[in-house]
Amino acid sequence: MLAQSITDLIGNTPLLKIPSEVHGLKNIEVYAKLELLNPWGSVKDRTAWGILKPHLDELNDKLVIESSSGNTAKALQMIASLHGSSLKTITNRIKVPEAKDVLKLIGTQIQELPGKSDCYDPNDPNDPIVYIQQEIAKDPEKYIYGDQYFNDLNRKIHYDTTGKEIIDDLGKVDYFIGGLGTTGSTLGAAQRVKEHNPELVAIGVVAEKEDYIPGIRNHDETLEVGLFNPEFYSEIVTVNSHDSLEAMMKLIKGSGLLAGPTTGASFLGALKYLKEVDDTLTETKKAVFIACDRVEWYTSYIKDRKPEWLGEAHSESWKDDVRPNAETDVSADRATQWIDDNQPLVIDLRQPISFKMAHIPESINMPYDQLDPMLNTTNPFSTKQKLLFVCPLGEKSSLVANYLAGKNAQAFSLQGGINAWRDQNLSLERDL
Amino acid sequence: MFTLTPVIASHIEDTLSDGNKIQEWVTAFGSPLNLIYPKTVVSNIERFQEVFESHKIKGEIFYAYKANKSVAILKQLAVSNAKIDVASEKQLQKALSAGVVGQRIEATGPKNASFIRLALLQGVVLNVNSPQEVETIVALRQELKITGATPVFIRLKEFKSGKIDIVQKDTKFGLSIEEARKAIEKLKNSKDLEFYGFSFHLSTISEQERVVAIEQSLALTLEAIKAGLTPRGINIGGGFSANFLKNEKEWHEYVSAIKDSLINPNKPSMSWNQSGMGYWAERGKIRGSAKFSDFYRSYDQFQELDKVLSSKTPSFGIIGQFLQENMLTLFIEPGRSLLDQVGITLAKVVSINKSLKGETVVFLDMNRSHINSIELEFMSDPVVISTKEKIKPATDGVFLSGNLCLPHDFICGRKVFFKQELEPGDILAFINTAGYFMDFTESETIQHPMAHKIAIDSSTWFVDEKYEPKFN
Repeated sequence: MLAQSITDLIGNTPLLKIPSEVHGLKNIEVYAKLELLNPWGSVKDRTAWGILKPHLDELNDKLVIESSSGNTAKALQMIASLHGSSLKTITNRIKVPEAKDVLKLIGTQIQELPGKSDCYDPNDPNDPIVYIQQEIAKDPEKYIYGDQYFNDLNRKIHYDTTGKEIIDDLGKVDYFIGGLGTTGSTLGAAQRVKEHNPELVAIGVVAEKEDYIPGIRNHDETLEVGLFNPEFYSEIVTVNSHDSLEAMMKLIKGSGLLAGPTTGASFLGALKYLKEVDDTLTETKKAVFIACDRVEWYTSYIKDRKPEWLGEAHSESWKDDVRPNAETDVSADRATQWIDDNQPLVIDLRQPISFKMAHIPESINMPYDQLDPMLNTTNPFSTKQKLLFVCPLGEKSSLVANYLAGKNAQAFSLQGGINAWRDQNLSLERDL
Repeated sequence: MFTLTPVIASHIEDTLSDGNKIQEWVTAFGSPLNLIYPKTVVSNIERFQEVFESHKIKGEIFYAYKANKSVAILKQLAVSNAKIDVASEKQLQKALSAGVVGQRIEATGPKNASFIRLALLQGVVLNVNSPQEVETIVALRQELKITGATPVFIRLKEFKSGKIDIVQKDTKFGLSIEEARKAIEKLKNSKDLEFYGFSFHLSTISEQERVVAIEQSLALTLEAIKAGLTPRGINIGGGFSANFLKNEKEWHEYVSAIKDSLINPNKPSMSWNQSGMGYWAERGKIRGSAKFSDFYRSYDQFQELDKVLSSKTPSFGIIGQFLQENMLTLFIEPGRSLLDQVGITLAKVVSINKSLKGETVVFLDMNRSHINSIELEFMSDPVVISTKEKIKPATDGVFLSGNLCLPHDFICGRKVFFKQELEPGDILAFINTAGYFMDFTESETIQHPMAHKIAIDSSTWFVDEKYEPKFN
């Protein structure tokens, strides 16, 4: 297969039959539409292409602007880059740090929106669309606005391609299940499939209100989406992130599909609905759900909810080997005398920026956070030189001094830290 | 049935359990009547302090007095270690007369000359709003021949972060970054003013915005230190949230019901005249934004402060750790969050009528000004205190009207679902109204009287001004 342009690779994704032991249904065959095989990894590649295709000529001298926090932004940026343009996304919904990193990496300009005002201010627009409109109004010729929540091209591309491909591969489909975000992919694809089988049952999947699932909305949020057509769906199933991740794991382990949390949500939504109808069926039916994207850029999202899945083995640390001993403490009121008598190397464990602002004269700076690699492997200090460690309150310095004292170093800790030193009005220096 | 069950602290439960006493009070003092629990302010202060302690930083709390007019609260705070944030000359006078010395008071907001004059004479910390205000303060000092330096916070309005590009709403208080740099130069050479630090106030639920503002304050603080000033810390203002409701699910269902009722005419109306509480339906889509704040919060004000101190700024690392390392104090100015569970409002049911469109309207002997915070709706269900022995179960929700001879006077614009049918003589207790609700915009419109306040200390009670504080 030879491709002339990466955009030729958008769409034409296969359907994967999910083994019955993974979904557990007796009378329904379940197929995943593998949108995660699109060139940039998600169903949104089609959406972005559908929205930008009519504007390719304008991309030379215009920027793309959109409110997107993830896959749409990624795909819009990639298409824009191909044509010498780039994307500005105005959003307050980027909740997955990896997504933000990737967007920055590929050159997207991210503008964050202020949060909703806590004490009501009648003069506050409190609406992201207002900010996008203000930005466009400043220079209307500068931007192509994707408007994915209202733009019918978002629905149409899925009608033209996603839905058609499903019919070509499978013929008659009885159930179609998709997550509801902009609602374009589910609506467009399902409308096409329904033309082939007017009996099609379309199921939308939304997140619980207090929850967050990337790319799909909750009940209230769908009410604001321009493309959302509630009458179209036979049922709207609500899922939570916890169970969606379990469903995602079933797909990963049982069907070899490296599915992400949103795919898990669609699969879960499918099972929730289909389990009910399965028992009532006498003949075999076919269901299709959208496997919208992959797992890789959600690791921190998963870690937040399922830390045990990413459990890291406890590695050995110098901190395990500290035996507390008060004899390493030097109190602030006798510190100057002690320094005069012992001429120690004074080592300040605070961050460099704090060290610069104020420190004990002639001290050196070794930030605590950077000590681990050294102390875990070796003792970098001479055992002949007295050492006085200083930190904000004398806690971290005590740990370090006690550890090193156990390794035969002459290590001491300033009790009460730099705060106690300052409280004694002892001299501090500043590096400018 | 869409209910919004309030969180009720045990000291308030105790009061509510004595229906006869409540009837007696309302008979004696009239409706509405506000109950204040001054000791609860102190325990809220202690909980904020515990957060400071857990991060091992120095923290100071200024109570935003504008949130409630109660004198009892001031008197109680006078014998605690809290400080007071006043926003008018009268507030300053009342704080002083409650026994709080000038050094424990901060003056914020727009200030006229007589407010500044009294503040200068009493050694109050002035939170400066504009470069012009600095000039006014210096001129008044000369006029009054004040010798000791006047402590000042400099309020910031512009926040930039090298790493986060965030849209800022317009804001009228404070100095820009450039103006703040000029102020540093001025303060450096001034013997008149003692620089306490930079301050800001944000009313946002966005953690990130606050982090950016703190980062900016810290960056300017370091510039000030380099210039030779010795700021004590940064003042991050108030805006900490409080949770009013017991049940997250109820809250979400209620808000959804408002929106659903706008889209679908077959659903029961949830707001008076389908006003939508800030939302409206346009071609089947919900537009607008809520005229109420989130009464349910999954975290409390103390966890919120903890989150702020634990969060990381791109330039200075973890905020708590940076303050600790640089020996900087964190000043906060909580109002609503400090008054959490500090007050309730009692009102008597006067009469009941059916509206033209068949809604049940319950008229209370109070009006919107008695529970109104800048047009913000009160979104938790009042508790019914009934003297009747037989209770009739309710068949539908009701609208709570005020006692003003005006069509718009509703206590809240939403439908409230009670378990029982209300009757004249019943008393409704609105829970947790001390912060900005019970007297913020209270007026004597149409010559209805202002509400009285009673201050309660476990088994004893006082008329608010007569409260006798004890050291906790």
